[in-house]
Amino acid sequence: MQPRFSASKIKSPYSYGFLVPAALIYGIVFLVPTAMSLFFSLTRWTLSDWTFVGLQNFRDFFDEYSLSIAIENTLIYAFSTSSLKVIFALLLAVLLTSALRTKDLLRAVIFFPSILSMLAVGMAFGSLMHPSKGLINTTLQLVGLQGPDWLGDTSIVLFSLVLVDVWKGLGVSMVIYIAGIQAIPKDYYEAAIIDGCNPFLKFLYITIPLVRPAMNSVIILSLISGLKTFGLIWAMTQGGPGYASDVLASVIYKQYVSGYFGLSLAGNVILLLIVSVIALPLYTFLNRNPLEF
Amino acid sequence: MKRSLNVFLMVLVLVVPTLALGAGGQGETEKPVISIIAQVTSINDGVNAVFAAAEQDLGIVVDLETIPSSAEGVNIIRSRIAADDLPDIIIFNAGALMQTTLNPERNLISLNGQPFLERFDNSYLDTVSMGNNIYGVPVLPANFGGIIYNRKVFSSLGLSIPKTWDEFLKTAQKVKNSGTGIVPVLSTLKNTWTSQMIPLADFYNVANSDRAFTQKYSNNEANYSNHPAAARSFEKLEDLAQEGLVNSDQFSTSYDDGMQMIAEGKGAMWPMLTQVIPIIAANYPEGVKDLGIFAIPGDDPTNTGLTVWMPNSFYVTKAAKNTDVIMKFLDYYTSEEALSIFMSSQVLGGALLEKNAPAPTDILPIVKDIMVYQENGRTEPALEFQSNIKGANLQQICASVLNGDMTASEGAAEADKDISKQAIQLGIPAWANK
Amino acid sequence: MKKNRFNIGWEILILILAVMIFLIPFYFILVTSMKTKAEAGLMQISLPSKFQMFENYFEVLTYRNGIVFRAFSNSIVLTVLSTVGIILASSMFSFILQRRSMGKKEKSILNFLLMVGLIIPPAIVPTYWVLNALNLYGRLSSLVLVEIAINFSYSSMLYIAFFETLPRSLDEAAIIDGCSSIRLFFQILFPLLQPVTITIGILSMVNIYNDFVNPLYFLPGSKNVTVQLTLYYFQGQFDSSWNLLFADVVLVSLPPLAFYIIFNRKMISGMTAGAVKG
Repeated sequence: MQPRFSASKIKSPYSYGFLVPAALIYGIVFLVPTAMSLFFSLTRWTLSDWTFVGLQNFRDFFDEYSLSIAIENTLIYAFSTSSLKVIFALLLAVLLTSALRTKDLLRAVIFFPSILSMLAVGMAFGSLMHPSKGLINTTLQLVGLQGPDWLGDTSIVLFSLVLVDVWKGLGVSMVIYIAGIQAIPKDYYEAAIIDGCNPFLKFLYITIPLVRPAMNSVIILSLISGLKTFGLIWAMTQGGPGYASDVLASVIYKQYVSGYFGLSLAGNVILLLIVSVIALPLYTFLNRNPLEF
Repeated sequence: MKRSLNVFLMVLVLVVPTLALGAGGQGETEKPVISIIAQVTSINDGVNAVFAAAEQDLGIVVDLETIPSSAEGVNIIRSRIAADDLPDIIIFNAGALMQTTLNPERNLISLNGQPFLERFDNSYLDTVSMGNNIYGVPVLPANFGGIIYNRKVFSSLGLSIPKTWDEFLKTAQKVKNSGTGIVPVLSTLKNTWTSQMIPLADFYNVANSDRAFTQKYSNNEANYSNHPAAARSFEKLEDLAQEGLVNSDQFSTSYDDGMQMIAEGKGAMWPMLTQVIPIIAANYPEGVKDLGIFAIPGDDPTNTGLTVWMPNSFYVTKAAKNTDVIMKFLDYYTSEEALSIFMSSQVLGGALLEKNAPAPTDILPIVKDIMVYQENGRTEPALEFQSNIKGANLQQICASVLNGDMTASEGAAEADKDISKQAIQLGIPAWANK
Repeated sequence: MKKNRFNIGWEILILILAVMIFLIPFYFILVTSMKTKAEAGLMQISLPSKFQMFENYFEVLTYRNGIVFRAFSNSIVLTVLSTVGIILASSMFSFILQRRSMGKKEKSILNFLLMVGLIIPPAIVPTYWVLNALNLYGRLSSLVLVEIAINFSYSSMLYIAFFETLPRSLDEAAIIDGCSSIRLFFQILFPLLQPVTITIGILSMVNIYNDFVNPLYFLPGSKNVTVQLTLYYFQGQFDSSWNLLFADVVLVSLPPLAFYIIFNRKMISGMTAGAVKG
């Protein structure tokens, strides 16, 4: 349906004035410094003086020992955590917007991990995942299984980190979905009951299509946060053992922390490009048919 | 509406008692205040005791802001410098890190001419200088790096202190084959920085084999790949990895775990800095008495020595206004009186650098071991205190070698790349023509 | 009222499973917070052999003249102010972006700028310069602005997605009735977005409250400590007082937890379904 206010006859109620606070804050406090940092990515910068080096930083970045590992890890991490969250959070959200009596409690329980700080989560899981003394493996031993070295075995460390990330982030995605499900007008469901629909069909034909705005948000947000993920990995393994769990963000961080400011800014630019190449088309694709209720 | 009321009430409930409590702590004071920023790990009981004494005896109040000690902390200091938001004093590392991070010529006040500098040897003063200016005085004792070992384990397994690296490997093998389950060489890689201990503490052997090494290193003539003694350092890591002499769960074993294991005799040897001693003494008062230290052996049995880590130091920034008060404070901090207070509040885990330091009483056996090396002049400051070029990724590279992911030569090559990156960043001419 | 479809047995089973999966790590933190320092350092999930809960919590609360209280006050004020700012700024922005018809090009530019905020972390030093130029550096207001800017992107995206669920017929009805744009937004549309506003409120509060990096950079000074920073006090000296550290973690986690429990109910009551019909 065409919005009626695109005609120039009627003054649009959507005045640009509403953009002013956002533009001021976001523009001045964020966009301007970011633009400046783009400039500095072309320099060798010591915070007090700089020399222009053109694209040398970018070349150096691609020369990083752990770069190929980091790119691979970043993509795996992002897509795994995102898909797990997109699917399981939806299922949980549906469960927790149903007639379940314990749903308030369950929502609080599932959301709880996202309240904890990364530091706390990193430390707690660091010890839970200890190969011999940690709770996970001692529990597995009780049923006769030998648990692996979750964080020390280079072939599975990324997988362990994905699990912890999903554990922590599931609640957030779920909450977004719940808001989305609650936005679906009840009439649709009532009409479906009258038509004799069972819960599974209701889920398939009403919930999934109409929860699209929320789903799109969850997909984009979890994917982007997965691509630039840093806090959890740093708290748990700092990219180790060795370089096995390095992702782009941790490589950049290590450069930043070693004082290679220009280089790390170049890395940020590269990260921005990678994320944009993945996320922007995805965003456009997901929003191609905006939902109209 | 109800929501904003809830929020308002919460804020009220939390802010009011806080303001009441907070206000109580801030009395109006006439005493001069020195603002200091320090990483959390630089502050211990001894330091706090001296700060308290300074307030009592001199009437000088220390306003201490502590920041995280990890890389994040270094970053914060860098950012404060860039924003020109400096306290009176920064407590920070000595050596290469000081020069590259603090940019002394731009940000610090020279201490040249201050009488209290007489209390220190040039070996220390050089590490807190740049050009002809001295910038720092120590906050803590100097530390030593070597192999901490458990005497009880050694005597029960009939082991003696190895004098060469081959003997060291054999000793470790004996522990491994003893069937006691004791870890031959502890590796606590949950705290990644500990991976660097052997190459760094091995520096005594490198410097000893070639007195000109440091010079060549700074001039891009010698590095870990082309200099045999330096390359040995990496090979030592590889030996440990290949012969399986470290604990298999090394990436889950933490620094804390290491302290417990060595003190309780569950590990035989631990390449580590002596800064652990006060902490072990606090947590394992009985076990700490079983510990000793010997230098990482090289290939020459007659000449082994400990590598010295210069302590974190006070640096006075250009933002300091009350320089008289500050110099008085520094003079006090390094005086005999303050040192006695320090030593009585904190178990000694190294050696105080002040020449006028009172002789320590009640020394642990391991500290006696350190003193023997010192008295015989068998110590050498670590490389980062003799050259301002230090690679930033050494710990990860070493961890990869210990893990078997990299060979010694790969590790050495990577380390060299790392070092040259830093050198180029610093704009050192010898590396400019890459 | 829907019929109770589920057997109470299943519900309890699900609850137990959820509690085990999602709460055990916190249980670990809680249990460690009650141990002695040496035992805590062993990081086992066993119950404390020597129960030291009161001493530990007391020590944390009285550490350095009760700096933890001051940290709470700072964190909470910061969080509340920033969250209110985020909600206002991003909802208003999304309102225009989603509702107003603009050229495809302009829309993509705005979308891209929004994406930038999601992906790139703030550049610390240039941000200093800007804040300094505005004479705001070091004041709480500057950190509030930074937090708003950082969280602006994702909250805008959420608002945009949920504005889609509000039919334009509402807008049109209101305009016909002579509503100004301000009234349209604040009195009609915004209240209908309550679920997503609360969601964003909760997420922002948690993010800002748990953020320790930005306060360190933009609100320095020993008086300005936030709760996350206090965790570092107990990680001193290369050894960590894990028991005190985790006691601090528990204390620090209480406000967000309390807040979530209170507002969780609001989300359940859901949207006023009535406004959308007809």
